[in-house]
Formats: sequence, C-alpha cells, structure tokens
Amino acid sequence: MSLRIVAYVFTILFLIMLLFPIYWLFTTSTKDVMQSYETPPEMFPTMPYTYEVYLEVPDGYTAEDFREDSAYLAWPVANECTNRRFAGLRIMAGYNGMIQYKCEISSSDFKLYKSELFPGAVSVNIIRNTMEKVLSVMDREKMFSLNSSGVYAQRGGNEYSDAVEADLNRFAEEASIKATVSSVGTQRSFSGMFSSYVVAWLRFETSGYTFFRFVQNSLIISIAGVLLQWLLTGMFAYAMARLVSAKTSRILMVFAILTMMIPSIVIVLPLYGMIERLQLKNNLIAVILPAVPSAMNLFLFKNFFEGIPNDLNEAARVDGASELRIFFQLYVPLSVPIFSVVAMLTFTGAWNEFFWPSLVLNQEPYMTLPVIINALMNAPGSSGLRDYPLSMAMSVIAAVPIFIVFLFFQKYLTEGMVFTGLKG
Amino acid sequence: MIRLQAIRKKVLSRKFAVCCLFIIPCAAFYVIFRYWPFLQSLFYSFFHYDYMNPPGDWAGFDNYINTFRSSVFWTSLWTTVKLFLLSLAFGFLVPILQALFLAEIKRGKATFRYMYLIPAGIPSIATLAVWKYIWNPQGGLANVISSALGFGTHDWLFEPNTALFALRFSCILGGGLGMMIYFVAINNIDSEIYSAAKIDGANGWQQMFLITIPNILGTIGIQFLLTLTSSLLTFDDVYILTGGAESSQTVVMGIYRKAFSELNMGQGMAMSVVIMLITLSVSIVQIKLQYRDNKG
Repeated sequence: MSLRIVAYVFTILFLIMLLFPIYWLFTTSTKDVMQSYETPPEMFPTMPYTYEVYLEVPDGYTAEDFREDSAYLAWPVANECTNRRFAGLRIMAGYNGMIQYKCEISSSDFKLYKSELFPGAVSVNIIRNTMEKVLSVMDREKMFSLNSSGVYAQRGGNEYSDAVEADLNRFAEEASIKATVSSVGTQRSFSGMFSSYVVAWLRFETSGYTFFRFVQNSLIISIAGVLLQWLLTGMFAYAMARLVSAKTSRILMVFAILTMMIPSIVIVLPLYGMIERLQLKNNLIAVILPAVPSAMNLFLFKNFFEGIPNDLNEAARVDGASELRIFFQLYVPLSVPIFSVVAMLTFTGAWNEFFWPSLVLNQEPYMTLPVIINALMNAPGSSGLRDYPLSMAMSVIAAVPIFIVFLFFQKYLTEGMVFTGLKG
Repeated sequence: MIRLQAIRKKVLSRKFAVCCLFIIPCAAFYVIFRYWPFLQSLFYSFFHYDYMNPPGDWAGFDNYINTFRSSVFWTSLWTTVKLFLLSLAFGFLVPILQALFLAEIKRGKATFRYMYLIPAGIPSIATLAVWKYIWNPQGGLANVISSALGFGTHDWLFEPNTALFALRFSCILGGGLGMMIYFVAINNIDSEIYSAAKIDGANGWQQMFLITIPNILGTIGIQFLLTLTSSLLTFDDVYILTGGAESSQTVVMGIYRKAFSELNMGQGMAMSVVIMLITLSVSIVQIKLQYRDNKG
C-alpha cells in the first residue's frame, strides 16, 4: 500500500483520538450534573431550557406583591428542575399579556444561592419565615426588574413543562399568591450552557474572592518563575559560556546536572521542614523559590550563548562595555528564541506543578489551579454526586492562559529543540 | 607561597568579582534548594526522626533494613514497574509511528504538526480531570464502550485488576512533546541520504525502515530511559486519579504516606534514597548512551 495514503489515514485517526479528550472536556463542561451521569452520554453540547412563567395579576397588585409571589414560586420549582436540563426560570407578570414585572433566576443562581438561603429542603413555609432574607439576596443579585415592558409571547413546552406547571400551581395555591399562573413555556438558552462556568467563577464569593484568585496565584507563580529563569539562570549560563575557563564551565555544569539526578521526592521532606520553619507555608514564595534551580534551562541557555560569536564580546569589551551590559544589551536581544523556549518550558512546568504546591499551599485562597481543581473534584457536590461539569469548567478556565502562552511561543518550540539538540 | 599569592591575586581580581556576580545568585539556589535538603535527607535517613526534637535517635541502617523488609515497599515497587511496562506497551511505539508518518505527509504537514501539539498546551490537571470522568463507573464513557463490547462495567480506577490498565491507557494517544522529539530527530537526518536512496530506487517504506528508523535509534533509546526514570517517580497522575488507592500505590506514594500519614520521616527518607539510587543507575546508563549518540 502506498506509504502516503497510510500516513494520512494514520495521522487523521490519531489526531481524532488525541483531540477527543479535549472535546470531551469542553462538552462535559456545558452539561449539568444529572446530564453528566446519563448513560449513554450525549456526545454533543445541547442548549438547556429556560422555563417561562406568566402571571396574570389582579387589580391593585404592587411590585412588592410580585417580589413575594416570585420568591414563593421560584425556589421550590428550582428544586424540581435540577433534573431537567434547566437553564433558569423567568417569571413575568402583567395584565392581558403585557409584561410589567420580571424576575429572572438562572440555574447558576440557584446553585450558588440556594445553599445560602435553604441549607435543607425548600418549602413554602420556610420561604415565608425567611422572606426578608430571601428577598434581600434576590435584590442583591439583581434578579428583579420591576419596570419591564413588552408583550408576553406564549411559547411551546417540552416533556417536563406540564410537570413544572403542576408544581407551580401547587405552590401558588399553598402560598396563596396574589396573582394567577396563566401559562408555562420553555425556551432554549445558549447562555445556560455555561452555568458551570458562572458557578466556578462565583462559588468562592462568600469567602470574599472569585475563581480569579486561583488563576492569579498560578499566574504569579508561573510569571515569577519565568522572570527568575531569565535573570538568574540566564546570567549563570552567560558566565559559563563566556566568563570562566572551559574547565570551570564543565565543573559548574556537573554541579547543575547532578541536581537533576536527585528525584524531587528525596528533597521534598527536608524542604517541607525548611518552609515550615521559615513560616512560608501558604505563601506563593514557597513555590517560586525552590523552582529556580533548573539544569535543563541552564543547559539550553549555555548552548545557545556558545553559538553567539565570541568576537562580539571582544569588540564590546574593547569599547569598554561591562559584562553586565554585554549580557543585557547584546546577548538578551540576540537570544530571543532561547528566552522564548525557556519561558514556555518554565511557564508550562510551573502551571502544571501539583505535588509541591499541594503540600505547601494547602489553604484555599493560596492554592494554585491544579490544587483547587483536584480538591473540588474529589468533593461530592450538593446532590451527593461528583460535579464533573464544574471540574471541567474550571479546567477549561485553567487551560486558557497556558494555551495563549503556547500559541504565542509554539513556533520557537521546534526551533528550540532543533538548535539545542534537546532530547527530552 | 607563590601559589597562594597567585590565588589571592585571582580572587581579588575584577574578573573574578564579575564571575561571582553572575554565578553566585543562581548557584546559591542550587545549594539551598537542592544540595542542602538532599544532604539532610541522607543524614536523617539514619535517624528515628523525631518531629519535636529533630533529628531524634540514631538508627544506623534500621530504616534501610525496615524498607527492604517491608512488603509494602516491594509491592509498591512492583506496582511502579508494572505501570512502567504498561506505559511501554500502550505508549512507547505510538509517538514514534506518529512522527514517522507525519514526516511522510506533504500537504497540510504544518497543520497536522500543530494539531499534534495541542494536547501539550492543555494543563495536565484538565486532561486528568477528563480521564477521571471517562473512567468513572457512573456516566463515564469507558463503561459505555466496554459494555457495548461485552466486557461489562467496572470501577476502572479502583478495581485491582483494572486500575493500572486504566491509569496508563491514555498513553495510547501519544502526541504532544514526545511525538515532537522524534519528529525533530527525523528532520535532522541528512536529506542527502534520502536522495541517494531514491536514486538507488528505494521506495517510501524501504526508506523508512532502512534510513529513518536506524537514524533515530539513539533518540529512541534515550526516550526509553527517560520513560523509565519518570515512571519510577510517578506520583501526580496516580494521586489525582485514584487518590492513592491501595491497588495503585506507587513507590513515591508510599514515601508520601510514610512521611505525611504515618509521620515516619526517617524511613520515608530512607525509602527515597533507595529509589534515588535506582533512578540514578538508570540515568548513568542514559548519559553514557547520550554521550555515545552525540559522538557518533
């Protein structure tokens, strides 16, 4: 068989397999928990439904009445809807199909605030007893718009909307709300696919920060790591390539390469003790500093610098330039490719590091992305099932910065491997 | 005397000061964060480590003897070796084949190469999260596929018979940097050899088997040893996927347990010294091979 055809078939098949987990990561992040446990699973993302409820209001109905009615109707229904591809609930109220009041609660709102408001089951009585608190949360999250206008367009239902309508009528009766439930419909919601992302981002709000806190921790560690490599390892390598004799250079290289032979598990235990004594636990510095020794980067820098003609140094020295100046003004601009390769390797390495950060950053606000994602992945969610879509959404968020770095530097990667003879 | 003076002169010279300025800031990190903890580990491995009053009582070789006597150590070492063998079986040939075939492609080569690299741009925690979900007994794809094929359903990551298989199955996808290393090695082969072979009438398959593969054997050997050393030190992926369940306890995980759960630092360090000696001997072979490869 022609080699060319085999090559194409093989490559395309393997690329499909290789990219499938990434596709699956994204697809799962758009599902809800129940959907993620379905067998067989849905292979493509689907848009979940927003339930629309229209209330016909009696004379003398005020905005305050609407707020209370919405609270009675929304929260019990939310509980019922978690199994039903639920993107949210939109309660509208007015006369003869004209919309006057609106209350919108998305499924992420339900996930985020239901546990705050109703740690246990939701019932009309509980809502009645805590009405003030419920309304304050709904106001805080801007769920009401009390000056709406427009015409209510009746929409079709889905297989669940009859059940939802029955529930709504039951709660309306139980709470004796002032308006009457006139119709229930459903509408597909695009933004509803991303509710796990909203939950991921906002679920730490009660502790006073968002998911960005973890992105920031990882960014600080990775960027500081790159800068330290550029500066410290770069200067070390310059000295090895240009300042010391060949013999000293070899001794220094052995000095560095020997550290590669020490597996991290050997030094982790004393290092952990050192960090504890210095009271650097739960301080990002505890991750940044021990990452500085990198024989691989040193090797890359040194090899590249040795490829730069020594005549340049001689000429610069004759002109009276100091070594620091030669390094920063001559070697740095000439070595952009190797600085890029080192940046990419260091950034990726720091972004992915798990073991050491999980030991020394074990309190929530200081965790890096892999640590917090792993911690949450193993904790059962509110339904008692692991919330994989949430983990996947967080993973996608964690993938964005590193993917940008990767796109930015990838052309240097192959170059770097070629001219340094990097073998692993 | 003269020699001493020469040394003093050298030390006081401006050039020496400049060298120190460039070298010492970085070298200090090597000493503080690598050599010093390493020596501590070596030292403490001879003590019954006491947290309250370090380093505690002298233990002689007790920690080492206990390590070699403990069945847990040998089981976890065997588990680690099995993981290595599985990653060889699933994943060793794949990136080689991918690189060989990618090199044969003319049209769209850059795009394909780029797509192969995409997984390297995804953080490992994301990939592990997906695999954890795929192997999950409820809702995971693995059980859907295996029951469709008639193998029934399993709790893949936790059943003793399937845990190691599930942990290493993802190696079969290849791609990423591993593939790239071979691809670069293939591109580095002198194109004149191929021209000569073409004149002699060798077809594509013959060129692949008689020129390309023999020329990347050195790279293959080094990759093999790198896989071995990294496999012996496996921790992150196993810990994230199984949380260190009994059936998949690797050596490093055993050390982690000894030190942080059983609080037996001394023995933890002795175990880590043992595993270091093993990886060190592998690395020495690797360096010899690499040296020969660079020369040849």
